Amino acid sequence: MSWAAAAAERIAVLVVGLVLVALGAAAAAWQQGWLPDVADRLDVQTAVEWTGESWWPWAVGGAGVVLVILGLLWVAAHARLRTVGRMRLDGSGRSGRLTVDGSALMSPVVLDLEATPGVRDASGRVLSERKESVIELRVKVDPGADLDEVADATERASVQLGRLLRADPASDAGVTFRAVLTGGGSRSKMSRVR
Amino acid sequence: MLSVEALEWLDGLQPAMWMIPAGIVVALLGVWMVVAAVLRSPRRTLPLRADTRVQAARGAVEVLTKDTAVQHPGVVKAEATARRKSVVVRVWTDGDPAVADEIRGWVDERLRRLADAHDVRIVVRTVAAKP
Repeated sequence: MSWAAAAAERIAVLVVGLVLVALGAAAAAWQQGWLPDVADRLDVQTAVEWTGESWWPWAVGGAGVVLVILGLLWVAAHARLRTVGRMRLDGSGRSGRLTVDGSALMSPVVLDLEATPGVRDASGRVLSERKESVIELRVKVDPGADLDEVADATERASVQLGRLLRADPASDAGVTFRAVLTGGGSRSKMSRVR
Repeated sequence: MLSVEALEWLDGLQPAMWMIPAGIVVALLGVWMVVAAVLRSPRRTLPLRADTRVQAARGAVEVLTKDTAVQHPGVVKAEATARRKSVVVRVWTDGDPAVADEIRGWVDERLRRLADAHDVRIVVRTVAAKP
């Protein structure tokens, strides 16, 4: 989700929330008679008369279409796949474009990671977030894993990827590196000495 | 048409008793939405001590913690919940009073790679012995 979409979503939720608070409070206050200057009967006769006009069905239908489009945009903002198949490298210019295939870049690193004791599965992908390239490693950890060992192996994998891309995984200059350890199953498959 | 029926229902509406509970429910829903919009999103991952950006998802911390707890011979069953600054371990034991302290130490040791200090809370429940 882009920064702009996330900000728009928060503002929309804030506005709808404030409207609901006002509506709810107003309904209760009206019933209790705490709003002396407000009529004791709602009058929307003008709007009822509009429903007989020829443009009314078009207006309601148009509003419905706008709401459907907004809903689809909202779903798309959440569901958009940001995975990039080919990553553009430094050195690209008018004379040509240098790219690297994401899966070719990741596969040797992922294979090394998967050979680490305590790692059940590993994967990597190149993402595009806010117009920047992000290298993301996801490492599924066995419940019996040594966290130090897995974290060190993951860090080595990031360094290896950084070397391949001539980027520093410790800084966000150019390419951002991110590695996430996730839980893999509830029972350990590792052999243990008791 | 629904829009026509809704407007006709609204027209002439007068204060009624149902507006009190309905108003409270709607206002509470609004407060919840305002709070959700203003507060920071909950952090789904916890940073580890590393030179590069390595993080552990809460789920990973939970399975490691649960695995640590069930290694104790006095523990029958265990569950774990990882939060931003704490890990709560619920253990069902056979009544061994030393379980809580021992598990706390083990979990502290197992999660020492987490970058932020974590408060490990152990909730012990004793399982009734079968006759």
